Formats: sequence, structure tokens, C-alpha cells
Amino acid sequence: MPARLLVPIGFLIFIWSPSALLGQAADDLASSRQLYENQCARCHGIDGGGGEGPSLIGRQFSHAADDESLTRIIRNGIPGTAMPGAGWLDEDEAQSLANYVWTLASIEPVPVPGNQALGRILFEGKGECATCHIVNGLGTGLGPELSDIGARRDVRYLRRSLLNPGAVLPRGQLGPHSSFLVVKAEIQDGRTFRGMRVNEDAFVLLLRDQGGNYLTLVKSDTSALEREFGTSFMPDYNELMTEDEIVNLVAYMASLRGNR
Amino acid sequence: MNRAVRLAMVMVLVSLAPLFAQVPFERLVNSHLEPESWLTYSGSYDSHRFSHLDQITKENVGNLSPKWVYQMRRPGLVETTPIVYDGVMYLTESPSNVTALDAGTGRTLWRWTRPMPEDLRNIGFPRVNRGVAVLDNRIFVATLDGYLFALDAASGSVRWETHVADNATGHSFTLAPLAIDGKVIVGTSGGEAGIRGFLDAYDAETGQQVWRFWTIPGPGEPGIETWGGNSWMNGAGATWLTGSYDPELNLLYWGIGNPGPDWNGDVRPGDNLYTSSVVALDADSGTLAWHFQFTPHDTHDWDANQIPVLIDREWEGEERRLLILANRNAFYYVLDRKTGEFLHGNEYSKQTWATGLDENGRPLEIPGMEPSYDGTLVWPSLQGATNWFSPSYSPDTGALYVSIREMGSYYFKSDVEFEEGEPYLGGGEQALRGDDAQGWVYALDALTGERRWQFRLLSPPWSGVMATAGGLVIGGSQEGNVYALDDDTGEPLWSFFVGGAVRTNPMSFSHQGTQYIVMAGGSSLFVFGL
Repeated sequence: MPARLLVPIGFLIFIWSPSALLGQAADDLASSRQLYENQCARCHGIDGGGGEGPSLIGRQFSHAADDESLTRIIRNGIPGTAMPGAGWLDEDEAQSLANYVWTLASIEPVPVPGNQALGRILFEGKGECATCHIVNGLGTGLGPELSDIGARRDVRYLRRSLLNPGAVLPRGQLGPHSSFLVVKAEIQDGRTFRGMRVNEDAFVLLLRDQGGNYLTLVKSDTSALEREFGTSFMPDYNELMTEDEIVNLVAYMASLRGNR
Repeated sequence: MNRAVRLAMVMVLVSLAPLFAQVPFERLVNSHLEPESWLTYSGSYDSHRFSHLDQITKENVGNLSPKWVYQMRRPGLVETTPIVYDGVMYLTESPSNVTALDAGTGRTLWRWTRPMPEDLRNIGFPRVNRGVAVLDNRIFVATLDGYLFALDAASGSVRWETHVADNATGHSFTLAPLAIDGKVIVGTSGGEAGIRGFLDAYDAETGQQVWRFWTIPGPGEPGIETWGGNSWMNGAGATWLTGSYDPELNLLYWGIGNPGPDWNGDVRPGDNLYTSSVVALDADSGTLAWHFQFTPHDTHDWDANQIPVLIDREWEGEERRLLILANRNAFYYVLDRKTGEFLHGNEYSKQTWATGLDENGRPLEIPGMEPSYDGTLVWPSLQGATNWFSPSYSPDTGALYVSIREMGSYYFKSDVEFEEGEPYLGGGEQALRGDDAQGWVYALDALTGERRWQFRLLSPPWSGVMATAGGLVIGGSQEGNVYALDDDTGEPLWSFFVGGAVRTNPMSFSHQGTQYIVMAGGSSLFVFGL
């Protein structure tokens, strides 16, 4: 089934109701949605709920406050992030796409199930999340900062990051390359190191181990390098928590929206 | 004036005497006889980008270190290849400025600045310049706003200027011109603005136009039948990179850009000659001797502006004048450069759009690989398996060294109408980036195109390579490495971290008996020596 058919009809009626079903407005809707699906859905999700890129639903965008800045981002991307530009879109197409994005942003997010307060207790206690993540200045920065993770990622992504963390490595810290990628390096003298990739070029690999120590490896000194795509130093919480606990933990993470 | 002052002045005049000497055509033809100089964009008319200097070797390259650094006057991409002769380095800076430096110390001798209009149009490319040309006592620079200037090599004063093309229509110049006997050859950018491409020759003394070759044939001309309707009028075919020259055949070889609009071929049915081709032109008249089209009816922006490399080698028992080219479309080609005959071709980098080449070198295309409204995943990406950055041919190893972008891309098609001076694209791409893409340096056997060795870079590079008589291959990376590899094995022998992306080509020169290797990184030019 083509991916576009997965968009619930009710969802479309909700965001464009009622005139969207009539005449020109319906055409506009179709073309805007088509543009979104072609250009944005791969990262932001077919329904705008996020994926590799942030959710667009119920958002105030930190980089785009108005049409002008949003269409500029659509065409030029956001330097220093994984957001590319779609420079081939003309002004009308960029505006049409912006209209669709604003509509997604105006959707009231579906209430997140679970108990935030219990989730926070799990985050700071049983989950030991603060041993690697910082929230509002507390914790350690081995893993990604999470102070506004609820504003940047939707519930599905957060859940996936708990159950299969190696599948959702973020990008941006090392340009378009995956950050926090686990790499195992074997030195020619037989020693091995395993750490998260902080930086890499053709000659040098900079890793950070689970103790927070930085390791600089000259590639010519290594006998083997294994990039462990699909894995993460973060534990698989499916084995550590019950389903109810995971729901509560997600609820707490979804509430983290950058309020300091 | 006392005697000491007079003596000091004489000393200064004596020390400057070798500066600002003449570079007649004969010096350009025989550039291999003075390896201490770098006289054309690619180092020689045959575009080997090979340094015959051998002071820096496999054994001592580990001691290479920066000797001086020149900071560009404004931040931005640096894609210049300096020209060096008789103790002076001539380089260009963004947007279209020229600076002359003392080659031994990096100190500035003069600087020429070209102010740019506020409404400057650079459609489809950044505001860069790739270098100057030299002939006799003049330095030639083509500017983003559509002009060709002749500067006095001694002072930077303008000797003449010629308005080549209107920037309001998207014409613009980023390439280093090519100076031949009495003429300056200049090609245009603007392929993403739906221009009609051309290659021009100008009298080096006066700036008067000598000839123009239209890369898109007009009504009544051979090749017009390869363009449906009036699509030829906006057919693009830019000539935005410096070509090569065979003085004995008196033929120019120039790569021609993609057709316009780039990604929507529906509006231009046919093969779209001479886009995505190499043309051989009589240097006196600009008339077409032959052409070879690499990618008929291109819809992926795989232009053919890559450097045509001219080599003389034995081919099936006969000494032949060959043209070799690693094309953006991921195929490698060997042509007879006297006749244009296709001799050999093979895939040299990952591609998913053709099953191979037929006996005439025409690609056997896989249906359904064209851009689409929903996106079509194809290797290579629109930036190609390689791009403008230079390959290098070593006569010592018989290999062509190429920087490789192994990267796939979702190609999109969109509807488009031509509007003068506006982007004329008809689509675009979303490339597979990060860990889904790779950079490499390949050593290809020049006659067979087979890979002898490969060296992994992290990201797809924007830096060219240079082989040397010292047995080295010099290059750079997006991450900021300048490196030297063993030309026989690809083994890394030296690297230096310049802290910014390397987006230019290396070159080498010798000054007062010392060999230097030059590479730009970030917004600076690094000059390395032992």
C-alpha cells in the first residue's frame, strides 16, 4: 500500500475541515500534502509525528516564527543540523508546504498516556537515566541532552528509543553522521577500545567510553574498526521495565519541553 | 641619497628582477620543462595535474609541515588553484578578486578587487573562483558578474576588460580561463538558469572576441534535431570548468554541462546535444571537430565538465593520442582524442542507472531511474561519482587518481516553466548522507579503468588530487585533512589537520630550490614544505 494512504481520512478532515473538501481548497490540500510527503515525510513522519526528524504536531518552532522564516528553512535548510533545504521548490510551492506545516503545528497533540510524576521517579531512580542524560542541568552528558526532548520528538520515537535505542541514533553533532555510534577499535598491539564516536575523519577517530573518557585513536595504529550500527550503550528498557513503567517514563520524557 | 641607501635600493631591484617575467605561449606548451612553476589551472595543457618535482618523496613526506599560511580576505569557499612562476603566486579569492603573493614568504605584492553588484545572480553554485590564467605579462580572470579582465602581472592594473555575458540572465564565471597562443578561452556557468551555453575565445592583446562556440545548436545546425520544440533555447550546456588543449592537433577539449531543466526531461525530448558531452574544437576557429556524449538526455544533473585528461599511450599495439575521463555518471571512458572514437568504458564507482555501455559508449539505461514526483533512489547522487575537483594522471604509474563520492540520492521531478534569470531546475534531490555515504580516492588503470587501490575518506570529498614524481598522491577531505598517499599502494604516508573543509585542488611549485605543496582548507591557503 502506498504510504500516503496510511494518512487517516479523519485526520485530514480535522486539519482542513470543512472547506478543505471543496473545490480549490481540496486541490490545495492535495498538492500541499503531496509536497509534504515527497519532501518532508521521510524524516518528519507521514503524519507529521516525527521520526528521525522532530515531530511537527503541536509545535512552536524554534527556528521559524512566521511564513518568511519557515519558507526560508524549507528552501535552505538549517545549517548545522540534519535539516536539508529543498531549494528546487519555488516560492509558491514553499508557501504551500509551509501552510501544511503550520496546520500540523496547530494540531492539539493527542494526550500522552501514562503518569508523568511516576515517570520522573523512574527516570531518576530505577531507570538510572540521569547517569547518562542531562535534564535541566542535572545528570551527566554521556548521552543526548533531554531537557526539551518532548518538544523535539514524538511519543512513538521516545518509546522506540527506550525499546531499541541503537535504531534511533541522532544526527547533527557530527554533521550528517550518526552521533553516539558505538565503535570497537582493535589496536595493533592487541588492545581493544569500545566507545561512542565523537569525531572521525580519514585519519583519526575520537571516542568516548562509558566512563566519559575521551580516546583519540590514530587509524593507522588500529588493526580493526567495527562500527556497531544498530547498537547503543543505552540498555534495552524492554528488559528492565514493565510495560506500565515504560508508558510512564515516556509520559515524563514527553513533558520535557525546555522549561528551565 | 647616501651610498648605503642607493645600494639598498639596487639590492631590492635586483631581488625583484626575476619577478614579473614574461610567460610566452612556448612556456605554457613546455610547462613540463620547468616543474618549479605551475602555469595553468591543471598544471599543463594535458591536464595531468602532475608535479614533476621529486624533492618530497615517500621516504621524507612524513616531515612535511606548514611553511606559511595565507588568510583569505573574506570567509567563504576557497576553490582556487594558484598559478606560480618566477617567484610569484597568483591566486583568486571570493568573489572574483586576484592576489599576487611572494611565493617564498606569502607576503602580498598586489591585490585586485572586483566589486560585485548587489543584485549579483549566482544560480546553482556558490560565489567562488577557481583561478587565473597567465600569458606573456598578463593575468586573466573571469568574474562572477560576467566579465573577463586582463591584469598587468606586475601591478594588477587592468589592461582591458570585456563584457562576455549578462549576469541578469544567470551567466556568471567561476572557472580559471585557459590561455593559449594569443587567445584566452573562457566558459560560462549558468546551467541552472536555462542559459544557452557557449565557449568563447578572446584576443589576449585586445580583449576582442575571436570566436564563440554555442554548446546548444541553433536552427539549421547539426544536432538541433536532438531538441524537441524550442527547448534548445534554454538548453543550458554550461562550460564552467577549465578544459584541456593539444597544441600539436590545435584542438581544445572542453566538458559540456547538463541540459536544462536539470531534472525534468519531459520538456526537452531527445538526446540534447551537446550537453553532458566533451567537445573537441579547432582552437583557431572554434569549429567543432568531434563530440562524444556521455549521458544522452541527462535527467540527473550529471554534467560532463570534469577535467578531460590527455595522455599518449599504446593502445592495441599502436601509439594513440587518448582522452581519458572519469565522468560524473560513474563511468570511465577512453577516447581517441584525434577522432573522438570510443575505445573503452567501464563502471568505476557505484551506479544503479545503467547496465553498462554499448559498443559506441552509449549507456544501456535501466528504465524507471529518472527523477519522479515521489522521488527515485539512484546512485550516484546529483553531485556525481566525481565532480569539478581534479583527477591526476601519473606518467610514472600510468594511473588516473580520482576523488570519489559514493552516495545515493532520491531524485525528484517537479513542473517548471522558464523565466529568464531564475532557477530552471524542474526538481532536486535528497541525498543519503552521513554514514550512508562514503568518500574514497581511487587509483584507476588509465587504459582499463580497473581499480588498483582505494583509500577511504569519511565523507564524499570536494577536493581534487595531485600525483607527483616523488611517488605521492596529495589530496584533502571534507573533515579537514590534507594527506599524502603512496601512489603505488594507496597507503597513507602523511596527513595534516587544517581544521576546515578542503574544497580545492592541490598544486606544487619550487622556490629557491625547495619544493612546496599547496592546499587550501577552510578560508586559508596552506603552503607545506620539508
